[in-house]
Amino acid sequence: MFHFSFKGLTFDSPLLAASGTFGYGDEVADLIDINQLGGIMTKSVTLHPREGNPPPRIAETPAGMLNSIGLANPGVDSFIREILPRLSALETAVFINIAGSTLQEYVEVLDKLEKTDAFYAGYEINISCPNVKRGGMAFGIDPRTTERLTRRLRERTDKCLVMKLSPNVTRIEDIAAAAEAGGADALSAINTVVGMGIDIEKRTPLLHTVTGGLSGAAIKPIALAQVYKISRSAKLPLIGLGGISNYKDVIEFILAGADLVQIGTLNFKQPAAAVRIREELEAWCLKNNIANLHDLKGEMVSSC
Amino acid sequence: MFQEKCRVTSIIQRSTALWEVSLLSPAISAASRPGHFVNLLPSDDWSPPMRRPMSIAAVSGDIFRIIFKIVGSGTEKMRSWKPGHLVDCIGPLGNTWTDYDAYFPLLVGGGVGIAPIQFLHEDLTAGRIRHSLIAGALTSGEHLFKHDPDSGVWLTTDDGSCGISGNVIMGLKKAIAKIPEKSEALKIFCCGPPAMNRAVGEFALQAGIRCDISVETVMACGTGICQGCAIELQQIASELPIYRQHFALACKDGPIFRAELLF
Repeated sequence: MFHFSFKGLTFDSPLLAASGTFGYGDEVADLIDINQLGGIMTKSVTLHPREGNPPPRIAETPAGMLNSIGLANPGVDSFIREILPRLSALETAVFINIAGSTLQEYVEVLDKLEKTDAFYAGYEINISCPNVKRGGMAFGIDPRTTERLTRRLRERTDKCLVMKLSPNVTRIEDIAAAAEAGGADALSAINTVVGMGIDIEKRTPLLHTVTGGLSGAAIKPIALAQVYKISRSAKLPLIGLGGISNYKDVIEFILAGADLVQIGTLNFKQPAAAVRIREELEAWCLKNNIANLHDLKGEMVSSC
Repeated sequence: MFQEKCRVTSIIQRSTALWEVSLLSPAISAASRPGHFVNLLPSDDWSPPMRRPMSIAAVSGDIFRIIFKIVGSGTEKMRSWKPGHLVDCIGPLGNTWTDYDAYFPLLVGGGVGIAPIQFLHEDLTAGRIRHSLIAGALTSGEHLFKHDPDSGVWLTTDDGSCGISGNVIMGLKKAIAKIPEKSEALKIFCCGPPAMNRAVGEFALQAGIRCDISVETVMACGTGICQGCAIELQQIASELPIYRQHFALACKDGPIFRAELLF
């Protein structure tokens, strides 16, 4: 039904779990067979433990949600000690998502992980978090900074290096090109879209940080357009995400140029969404006589 | 933790403000203890986009009950459920009430927060554990119980239409005055709207009474993944993982917290 390989990794499902929507894989282990997933992008790991932003951190919006978690996580040392051994035992491809406030922090986290003998596929580098004061998205809105960070990390690992891009830029294809020039193995797009909401009775913002990141079905058309733009210019494998709700959305992303996709906010509603969608994709491929769904990559036909 | 499509076996209006849904799930029912909640999906599409956390209000056999108040699009959808409707539920989730056999339990519930209090009340009653129940509401029609101080059930109403006229603090004081136990032998178990929780928490801290409070927050996943349901604690909770000692998660570290952590 699906087959795609790059950088020595083989995927028989196009569906990966997006960072921040699947924890470190153990929270919902009762509810889903994790090895049925194409892969997991972990919750972001930073050099030091981070307590995250004050509440409120989330709010519902039409067909989506705003979040401003602020990269709350136990820090890389605790991650290596307590979480990584378990992730290392999974059959599915695990990508450790790394975030940092400075270039040096990204490097130090990666170095610490490289020194372990744990088994995992590689890294997804978060250069697109809109919810932290320092770092985060700052690395993903300027092509020179993106290229410098990518190169520094590339020099230090042979594992798969995926750069996660922000939609909150004028030309995402320039950031994609910079990551490619820096030596990335793949790109993932998009992270959340900057958004906000206000409680009109209290006249207060819905989120403590005022602005946050919008996700869910509401952003799918934005994500699709960004993936399409990247795929027209970059040669690297591309992992599309943003508001995927069902198998039709997955096929749209592949037609727009994605090699793989990630399920994000949908996991909060349906922890086993990726397993269900995989079954739906299999049925659709069977019905349409498609041996490998990946063959549809970029196969959108111009209508005029 | 289980995820099941639970069949609605009944849906009734319990008071002018509260609705009760009975859901069939042998697995969730068997695993549920007082204090637990389920995270249910009002709709399969994106309206509304998130699940809704609901405290378990009772368990009998294979059926568990939840109580809700209509506050928005999710609960509006829930009111239209009919028997036979299938509801996607994840649960039981969160922590549970503890230490109710080591102290004299004072149960305090207000509004829709009566749900986890009712479950504990039924559990204590079944276990023949002596306790008092104080329930607060705006007016008599919102109450699920009968005012019966001799059996330890104290109702309060803001408008004085039944029970004690006033808030739950007045009910608590009367309930405490009627029992012989001293402050250090008491423990309050409380769930209600934020202002009530604060008033009860501050009363307990001042009176030197142990107090656990179940909080309500907006939640997405309910399982600790999204970290959206953070509660800012007033003291460092050293028993929690280091990054959650200041901002704890209502879904996983709670929803029940010691009053001194909250106020």
